[in-house]
Amino acid sequence: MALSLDIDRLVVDVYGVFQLGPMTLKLEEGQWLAVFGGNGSGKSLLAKFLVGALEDSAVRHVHGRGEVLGSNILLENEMKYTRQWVQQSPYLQFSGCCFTVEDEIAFGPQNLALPAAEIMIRVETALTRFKCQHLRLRNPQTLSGGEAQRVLLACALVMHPKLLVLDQALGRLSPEATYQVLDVIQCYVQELHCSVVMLEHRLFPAADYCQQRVLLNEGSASPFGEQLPASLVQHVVLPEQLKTVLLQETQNINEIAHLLSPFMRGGQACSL
Amino acid sequence: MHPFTWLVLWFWYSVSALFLPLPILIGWSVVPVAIILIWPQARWRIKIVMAFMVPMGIGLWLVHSHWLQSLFSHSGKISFAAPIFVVALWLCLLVFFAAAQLWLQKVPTQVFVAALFSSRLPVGIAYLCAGPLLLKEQLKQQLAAIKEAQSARGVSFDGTLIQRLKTIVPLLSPLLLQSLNDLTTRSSALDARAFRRYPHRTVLKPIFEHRWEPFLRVVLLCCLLVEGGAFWLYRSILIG
Repeated sequence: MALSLDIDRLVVDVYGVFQLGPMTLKLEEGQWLAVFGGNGSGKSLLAKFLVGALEDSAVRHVHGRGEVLGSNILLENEMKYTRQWVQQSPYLQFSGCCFTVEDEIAFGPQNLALPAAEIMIRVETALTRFKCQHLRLRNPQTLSGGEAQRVLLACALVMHPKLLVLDQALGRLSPEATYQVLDVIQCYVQELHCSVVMLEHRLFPAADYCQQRVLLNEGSASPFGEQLPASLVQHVVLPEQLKTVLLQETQNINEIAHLLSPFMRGGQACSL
Repeated sequence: MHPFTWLVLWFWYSVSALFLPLPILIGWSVVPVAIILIWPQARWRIKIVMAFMVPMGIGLWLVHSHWLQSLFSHSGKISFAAPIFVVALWLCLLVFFAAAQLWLQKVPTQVFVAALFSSRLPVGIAYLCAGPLLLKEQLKQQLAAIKEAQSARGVSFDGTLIQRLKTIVPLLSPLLLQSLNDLTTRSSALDARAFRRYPHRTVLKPIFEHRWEPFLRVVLLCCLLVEGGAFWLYRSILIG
């Protein structure tokens, strides 16, 4: 299977103030990757870098190898519609020139000059899947935080991206709505063979959906699997029970797996 | 009618006011004001016209009537009369403003923005033209968030007029800085949604236009040229 992300010993230096990396990340097409980290760990910098939104003037130098969707992002640093980046603040990412949610979702496909019928199908599918039909005629700027995040995710996914970067993009949703939205993204992932990178400061629900997990601490990345590192407690928001076990340093993998199980809901089958 | 036709009509009517002699100008300026008053849906806009034109009139009168000058120079002759050109200027501004209010009433912002995006204009230019019309909602929301944050820090937005005036700085300075900081995020978001990727985009909801409307727009613009030319010629003969 083709690699969506192929990053090898990548170092991004922000004028000696902050250094991201060295990090090595590989993500196959259709796979999910979770990058956990606290405030100032470099999550948003990594997100910018992955989608090509990092301005050249913002960094001193970049070393290593970085291929995203087959193109070298060290040389070709520009935003592309195949890489969608959804950030924490939804209102800033609206086009600003659409007066209804329906038009807002259609804005991207219209820019791609797709046939009108194709656009309507994409918009209807997104509205239905993200349960936004009742918001269809609302002004995007008047939506609540959670509604705005749903609409923004719909806007990103109607572009049919190959890489979706969620930079704490679900923070305004209720726990139940978060799982619903992640299930919808799962459907799109299966259909479009899109890869997802979730950048989170909370372990759940990202750990539930992502096969690969990385802890980002002051720019340096360390992958982890079932065996949770004790340092996770300092940087990531964890359920209380799990936190207690990790602090006791009795890292019995069976015990952790047992503790994790109540939080691991598992992705729902795509039935949409 | 198409929003662009209304826009050209407004433009023709407002610019024509510049070429008219005072007696005709008075009647010319009464027309849009009368329509605002007669048209029930537009009637509320008369307050906006008054709020803009009355202080403007007072300001023009204070500056040009020489009343202030005679007051401070302790001159025995105090003149309250305003020169004719000031009256004409005020009437021209009234035509511009009242006719613009009618245009705004007839063409809602969303229809005009839709017309811009479905026109033959390049997408970037259409967005640039629509920009000022779109700022209202976004600034309103940012302002509400800043107000909330400043209230939490103890800034009071109630009280006397002077106290409220003092709160303008803690409101406007973060608004300005935040708007500038948000530009990068907004431009990245537009890039991600393939904005300006292709010279033309799909139009889902085309704005209806009669066949004769482009012709009417050209005629109105030609009328302006003729009026302007005639006015220039008349002035040249008069001075010469």
